[in-house]
Amino acid sequence: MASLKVFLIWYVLGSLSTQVNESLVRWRRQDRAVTGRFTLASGGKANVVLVAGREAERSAVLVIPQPGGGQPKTLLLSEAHDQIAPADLVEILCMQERCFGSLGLPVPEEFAP
Amino acid sequence: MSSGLYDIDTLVDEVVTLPSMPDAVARITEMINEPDCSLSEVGKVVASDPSLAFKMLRLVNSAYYGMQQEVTSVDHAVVLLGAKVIKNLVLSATVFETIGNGAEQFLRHCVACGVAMKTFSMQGPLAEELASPDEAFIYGLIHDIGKVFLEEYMPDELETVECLAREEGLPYRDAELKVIGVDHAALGARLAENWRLSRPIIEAIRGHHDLTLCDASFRPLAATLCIADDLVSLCGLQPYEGRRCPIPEATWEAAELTGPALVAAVNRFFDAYPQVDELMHLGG
Repeated sequence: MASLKVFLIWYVLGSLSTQVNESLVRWRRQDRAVTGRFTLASGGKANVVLVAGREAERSAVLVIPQPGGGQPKTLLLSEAHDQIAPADLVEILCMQERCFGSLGLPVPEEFAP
Repeated sequence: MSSGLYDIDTLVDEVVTLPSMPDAVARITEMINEPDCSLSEVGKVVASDPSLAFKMLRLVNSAYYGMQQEVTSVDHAVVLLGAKVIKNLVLSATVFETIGNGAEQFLRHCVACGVAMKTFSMQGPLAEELASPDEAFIYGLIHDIGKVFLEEYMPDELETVECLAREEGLPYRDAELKVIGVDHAALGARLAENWRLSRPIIEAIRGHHDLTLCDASFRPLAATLCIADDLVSLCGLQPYEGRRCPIPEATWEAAELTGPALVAAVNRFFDAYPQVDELMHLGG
């Protein structure tokens, strides 16, 4: 869990990355993770951090920046389905499967190893 | 090469020749609707078209159908599955035949969309609307069939469509409407009408990119097809280039696919995805 926290702080601070623009979610590759920035159903911004396939526990985490720069709120994706617009939710699930799943779906060119 | 914008009637009168449904399939569709439909007669009609019978047996023996035993004859298949399932099988085989000669990526998109529709039909409004998951599969398999005929009869215009979609970042359908005046959904719906397919299939094909184009009572079906299409494209199996078409909130609501129900449906599709690879062999 400590390493996940370190990663999330590093993510929130931002880093050099690759970005895909043809979707509703703004995707980036950050080291071994794939992260996406999108708008929550409530209107606020959030980031999703994908680190493993859907079978793994804690494979997808939502990071919601707090107003005033406080400690970001983190939630497992599975606990936040209702907070995400359906179009973004499908895109997140598909990106996770493409980048970390075992089905052999095409990995986005920008994220290919 | 023709030029200018068409409406659907002018397009099919002057440019595109849509094929008629194979005689055997048309006859089986008629027979199913007869009250005294005889299974042995259905079997004879299927067997009278060897190519169709061969494809149907390959389909029924695929993992998709999950039969416990190998089905080796048409008669066996008819007795085992019943006339309605056979009707869906021969229609699926016919659609495979029609779309199977195109690019592999296009066929994969259509097959995956069929599998997605099948998995979506296990819950929500589709579970009540459709007779069986096999019927749902056909919706996905056939939804983009209009594109086959645009490619065959209007290759130059489609090249312009692709350029426009790529260079101006338009959704593919918007580029079709701008260049041709008719989109693949309208052409596919016309083919389904000519083939006398059921009204729900015709309306779902017509409305899968724009729900307002189909009768209100069929919108849950068209909405679900639209979402299956989007899901498969987001899996990297796009049938064509172009920006993702934003799906209006009303579409998700009409399909009753939001939040946990949506996640469950997507996960069922992922679980069923290996069927796509096997079904792909039927297209060649």
